[in-house]
Amino acid sequence: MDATYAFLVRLVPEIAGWPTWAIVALSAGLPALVLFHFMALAPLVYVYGERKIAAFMQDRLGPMRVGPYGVLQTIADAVKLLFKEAIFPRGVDRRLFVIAPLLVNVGAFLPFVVIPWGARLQPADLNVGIFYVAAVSALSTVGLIMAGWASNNKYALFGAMRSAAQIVSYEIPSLLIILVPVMIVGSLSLQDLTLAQAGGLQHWFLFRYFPIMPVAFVCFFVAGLAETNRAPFDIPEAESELVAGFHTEYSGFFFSLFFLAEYTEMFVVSAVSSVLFLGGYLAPHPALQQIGPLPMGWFWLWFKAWALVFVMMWLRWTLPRTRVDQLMYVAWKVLLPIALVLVVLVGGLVLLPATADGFPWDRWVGWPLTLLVVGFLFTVMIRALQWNRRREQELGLPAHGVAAAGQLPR
Amino acid sequence: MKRWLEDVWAGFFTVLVGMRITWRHLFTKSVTLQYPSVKWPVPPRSRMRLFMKYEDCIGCGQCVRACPVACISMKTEKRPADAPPIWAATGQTIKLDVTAFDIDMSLCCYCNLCVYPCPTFCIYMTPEYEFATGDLTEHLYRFAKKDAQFLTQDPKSKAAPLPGGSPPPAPPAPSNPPASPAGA
Amino acid sequence: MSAALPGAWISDWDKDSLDTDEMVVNMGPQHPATHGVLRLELRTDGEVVRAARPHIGYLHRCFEKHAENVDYPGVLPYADRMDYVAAMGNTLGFALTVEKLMGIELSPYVQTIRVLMAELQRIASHAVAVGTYTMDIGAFTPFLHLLRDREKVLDLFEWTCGARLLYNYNWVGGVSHDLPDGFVRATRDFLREFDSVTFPELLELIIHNRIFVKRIANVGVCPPELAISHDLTGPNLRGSGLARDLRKDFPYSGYEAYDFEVAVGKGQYGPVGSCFDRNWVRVAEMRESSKIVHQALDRLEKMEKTDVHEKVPKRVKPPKGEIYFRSEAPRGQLGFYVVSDGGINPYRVKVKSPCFAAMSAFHHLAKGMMIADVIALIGSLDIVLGEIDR
Repeated sequence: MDATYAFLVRLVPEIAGWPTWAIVALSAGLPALVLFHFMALAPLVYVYGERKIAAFMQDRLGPMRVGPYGVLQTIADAVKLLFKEAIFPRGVDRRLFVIAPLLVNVGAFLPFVVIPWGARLQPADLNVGIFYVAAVSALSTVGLIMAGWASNNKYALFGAMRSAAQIVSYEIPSLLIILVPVMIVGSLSLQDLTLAQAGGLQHWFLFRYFPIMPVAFVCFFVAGLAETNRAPFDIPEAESELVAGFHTEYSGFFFSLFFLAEYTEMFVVSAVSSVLFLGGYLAPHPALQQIGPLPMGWFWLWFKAWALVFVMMWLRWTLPRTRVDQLMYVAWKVLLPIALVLVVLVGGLVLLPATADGFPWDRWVGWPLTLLVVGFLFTVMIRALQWNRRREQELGLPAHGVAAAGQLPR
Repeated sequence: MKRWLEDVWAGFFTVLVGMRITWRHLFTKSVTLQYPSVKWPVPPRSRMRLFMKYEDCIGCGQCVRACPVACISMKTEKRPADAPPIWAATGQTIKLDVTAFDIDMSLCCYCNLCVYPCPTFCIYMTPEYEFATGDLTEHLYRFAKKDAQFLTQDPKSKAAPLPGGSPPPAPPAPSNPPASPAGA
Repeated sequence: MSAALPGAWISDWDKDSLDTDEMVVNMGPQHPATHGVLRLELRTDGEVVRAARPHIGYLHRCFEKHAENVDYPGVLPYADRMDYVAAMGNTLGFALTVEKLMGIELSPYVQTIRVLMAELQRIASHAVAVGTYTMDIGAFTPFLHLLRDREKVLDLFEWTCGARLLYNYNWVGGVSHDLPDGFVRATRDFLREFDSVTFPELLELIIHNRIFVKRIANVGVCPPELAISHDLTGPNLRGSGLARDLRKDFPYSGYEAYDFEVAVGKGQYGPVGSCFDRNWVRVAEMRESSKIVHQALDRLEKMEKTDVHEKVPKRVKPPKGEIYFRSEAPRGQLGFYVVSDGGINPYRVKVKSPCFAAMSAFHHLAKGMMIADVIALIGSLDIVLGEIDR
């Protein structure tokens, strides 16, 4: 907020004389507005990305017709949804029916207040940052239940209850694992959490207390997946399951609101994961933090969050759905014990002065490990690119051999 | 406890294995054909639209009998005794006037059974598949022509060249539309 | 097993007798997971299914009545349309039945072509079965990968006989078209890619995936006695551990000359006879079919060609009599009972459909499972409504 105020005053010096409430409203409201617009329009890109990624993983093309390479597809879909009739089935509680998607969206957008995009590029640096995020994202659960109840449809209610149970169950391991970086740093503020990882790739929490933190990261990511109702935990939205999800009765604009909320939540979970474990807005190497006069923090956070969003999409198109009781099993009998063990372990380690910031050998483990991980990822990607060519050579056929687009001999 | 650990590890590991496959497929060439800008060449034996060469029909009705869904209907009359003799391109004499020969493509099941019994090979399935219409009645193809140019010389005899008549039965011409729709 | 299900079905629902804890849930005719127009009426107690009654007949198209009104070659297009996912098997069954009735013996060349087409069709049909099953369970990608390979099989069929789905290929006395030049090479190309890429990927991506396994490995267990008493055949029976395959037990069309194994459910991840085992049998059968196709191609290259229409009678007029003949369709034992009165139309054609028997076992398998597992169960039985309803 201060940064915005300074910027605005430089631009229009008269602002300094305005009444306090106006100054606060402008310098707090303006970044919020900008951020909100970005985040609200971002799902357009996510949806397109998801469809294209799904298509390429399935050896097909995805949207291609609307706009060059289908880039305008989501806009067309959004416009279509806007024009669709918003059906209110008989017997729905109108007020709740309308408020529910709004509430879910509130729960999805509020965490953006504390996500740090740079050292001073943060709408508000609350000193209960991460706690605030956890609390506020639970608001969407209320919206969910409201949606199920207001639909006047017993299957929607079923779905909503299941979905609420799922989210609440996965909150617990998620919160416990949040405690782990918090204990290391000693502060709930997201800015402090990020700054504690300064100094380069090897200082990121992911590489401390090896192998404890990678496990924590994976568990947190899985818990986050389940909270956003993404595959493999997407029972509530499953089309082929019998009991329909909470948004069955919604059509048109309200349906698109639920979609908006889902993709925004995905981004929030990814952003929070990257702040907690992957160094937030910090670059892998301090030299890359500022390119000339341009601070690159926002880019790095954005890049990491998008990478995690990509992993979420990747998982969706790879994995089948778990059954509801298996979902609960994973939450209560796998993630929760692991989270508890992690909290106890790391809590104990933090207390000892020798291991307060990480194992003493982290310094020698950190760098080699990062190099290994980066090298591994690099080779995997290159190998994937070459896989097709190798396959063609081994099989002696063009990719997808026989009859790909009319290659059958005549 | 051991089983729990096994389960968790197996769950984690098989997920990674699956992810590797989808990752590889992310870079695989797609198999989608962008129809209609790119069209797949259809094999010559394709059984799409039926075509019938009216000038070769001898009115035997074998195709009508063979069709399992009764989509072919035919009306014939005996040619008057004083009419000039006409032949089909394969050499049979045509003794009947086929006054109506209708194929209802909306009933046709594309089984190809009408093609084989035809003694003159005048009915066959062509590889043309883009004949969708907005009006179902347009699928009733009437093949009987009033101004048909029959062969008036026996093609088997080596006496004289064919008098500017129809060429011998050629392989299917895919763009050849049938006789005009209902109303001709 | 009670023959008469207890009251409180929606059809004979009496207000007083319906337990207030129980709910009747309808998986209606239009449902993405029921593989066709099938209505399942489930009586559930919370999440657990207490009784299940399938309602069929939404796709009844009077095949057997039509067969009485067209001649024998005309029955074949109708037969194609019964199990439209595996059309080669239907016409093969009917053609073999009538040939047995008429006493027609085919040349080894035609028999090899028939085996080749039937096994390619088996691969394609199981691809659809496994693909749609994994899609029901939630994994969307294997479905598309398998369908991509199925398209190649369909291209081979289109190249040979002109049609992609309903071929009318196996005729009484032969096949409709001879193989085009280059067919052997093209099929080998397809199999090369299938064997080395698609099949291992399928196993890695989904079949051994722990989430998939956990979803279906303990669900829908069909003990062998139940399978036999409900006349399950094909992969449903083999999934319960019984190695019964008509291609081995009562070989036809030259199957005795091929070397392949009968895939049986072994209970790798749960009790024998679970949904996983039935699915596994189909997956393994794709590999065995690929083996058979390789052998058929080898034999074709060495064999002398005969005219495929040589033994096709000009007029199919079987002598008076009746015959029942069964073949191993991808879904199980497909039987045709043909009664001939000496005329050109059959007097009666009755079809024993393998999926129909599978539906009869449905109630016993579904009892006691959760609603979400019902989806897993239906998919594992691999039903095609066209065959059930005819």
